[in-house]
Amino acid sequence: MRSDWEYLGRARDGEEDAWRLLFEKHYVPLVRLTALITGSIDAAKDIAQETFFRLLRVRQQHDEGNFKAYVSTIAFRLALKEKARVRRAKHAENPESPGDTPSPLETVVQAEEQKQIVRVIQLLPDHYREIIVLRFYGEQSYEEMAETLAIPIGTVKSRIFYAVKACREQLEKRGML
Amino acid sequence: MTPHVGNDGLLKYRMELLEEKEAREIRVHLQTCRKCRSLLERVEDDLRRIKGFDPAVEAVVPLLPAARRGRVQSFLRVAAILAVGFLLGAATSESLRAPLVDVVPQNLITRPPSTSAGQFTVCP
Repeated sequence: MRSDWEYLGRARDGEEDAWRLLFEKHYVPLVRLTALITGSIDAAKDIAQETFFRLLRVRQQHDEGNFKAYVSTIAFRLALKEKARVRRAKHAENPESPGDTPSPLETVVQAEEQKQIVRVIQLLPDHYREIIVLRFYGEQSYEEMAETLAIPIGTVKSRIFYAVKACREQLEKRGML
Repeated sequence: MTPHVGNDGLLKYRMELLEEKEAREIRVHLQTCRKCRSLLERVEDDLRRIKGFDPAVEAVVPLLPAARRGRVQSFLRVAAILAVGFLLGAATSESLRAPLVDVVPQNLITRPPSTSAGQFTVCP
């Protein structure tokens, strides 16, 4: 069975089939990940697509390791940049506002349970949200998360524990547990 | 029987945040404690919920950027254009070349170069 790295190499060489296969496999998970960071499904779609174009352009050639963690790190960083850009723009428009507005993400999910999940994750402090998203939506290992976030692995482990605990408490408050 | 594990302990156990020794103790305890097994199931349900955000998104595959598509074909196309250009250029330069002039030695007036400034006349 061919690895995603191999498909990426073939896509770089211009093979449409390899490109399609990679895109179909990873696009939706990347949209989920980046939507939870940016709070916008449209921005998430753009970022997920841009992630694939960046994959083609990256000079450093990898051919081993967790491909999903690799693409999710690219998408995650792009999402953080987008979030910061939107925050700056909102702050410039209205310096009095705190910068965060209710998430339009809730409007794109139908099921009430999903709305609650989105709300709970969006209400977490940034550092908790980011670690939850990398773990559960980027499927990164603790080592990979430590590298992505440039923090010690011990911090990753304690942060993910408290982040999940905070999520559970919020879900319980909302009567979901 | 060892003491019950509790929510936090089970969460750490499920998320593989414990040292192997602690994890082993919990594993042994779970084999005999229905209450903790039931708590563990709740922890697992919560984790499933947390990763349950799944908006309806369709993957519409964009075309591979033109620069990547058929790189070999692009290379051949450029090579073909260069080859045609070279051949056309060679043919054109051949047809426009000026006729060669025969230089006949006896028609040449040769004079030794002047060697001193005194040979020059000064204009009034």
